Amino acid sequence: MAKSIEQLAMELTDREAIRELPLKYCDCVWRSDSTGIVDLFTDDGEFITKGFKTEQKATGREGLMKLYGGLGQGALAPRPYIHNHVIDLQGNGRATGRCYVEIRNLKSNLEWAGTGYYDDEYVKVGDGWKFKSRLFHPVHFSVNP
Amino acid sequence: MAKTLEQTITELADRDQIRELPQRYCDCVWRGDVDGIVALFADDGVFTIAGNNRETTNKGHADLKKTYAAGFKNLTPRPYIHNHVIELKGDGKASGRCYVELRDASDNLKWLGTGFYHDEYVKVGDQWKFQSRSAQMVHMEPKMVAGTGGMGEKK
Repeated sequence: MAKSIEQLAMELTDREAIRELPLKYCDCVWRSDSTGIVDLFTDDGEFITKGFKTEQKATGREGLMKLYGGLGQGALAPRPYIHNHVIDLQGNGRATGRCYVEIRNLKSNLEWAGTGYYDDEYVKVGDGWKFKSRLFHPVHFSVNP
Repeated sequence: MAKTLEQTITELADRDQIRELPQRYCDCVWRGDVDGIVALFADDGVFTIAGNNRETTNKGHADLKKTYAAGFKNLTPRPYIHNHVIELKGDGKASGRCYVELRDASDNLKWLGTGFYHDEYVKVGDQWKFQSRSAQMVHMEPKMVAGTGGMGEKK
């Protein structure tokens, strides 16, 4: 059955809000705005890195603040660009998506440092959308992300 | 005459779905999902790749499946899509152009080349599909030039 105009408008609004999440995430990383990043997650949100040397997991505002507060303190000061974002609305304020990232390193003349992708889960909180979880899969990195 | 709210919302929904097509295409290429790529095309969809003084065309799901499966045996491209412009033409038709950069998963994700797609889109039921994709490679590293030989014969 064809969707009503109200359904189409609601889905468009949801998709647009979800599409902005990884963009805002990158914007915050560029500006080293760790509070801004954490605000994009639900209170019990989590960030997981898999497939690199060690698996990392940070959960909740405190865990995420600790993780993102350390951004740029290692060999990599990431400057990310997001690509190829696909979104699947699941209904009931849930959605999933995947997007791909290229990262340049501010500490190394903005050289290309690597690439990977995120498997995301999104959830609607009030009128807005947040990351429920981000699972990062590094594919190739010249320095430890 | 000004568009009605219904027309405006419908056009926005069409654009949104069309915008996702090249993104999903890239996502499928990254994951080597041949069936996923082919499902993005209309049943009689056409894929053409041109560059290095040759052109290859494949039409229909069976042909496309064979072509993409063969292509992924020769190449491991990791694409990023950019600059997608869309023109709605009415009656469930649209066209667009978008630009792509490729990196190579089998060679430390080295930069492989760039080019653009000229796309024709068609609405099939509630879904937009590729009626045709014409890939024009602007610059290809030597490996990419050799690898496209697996994309089929000139037709």
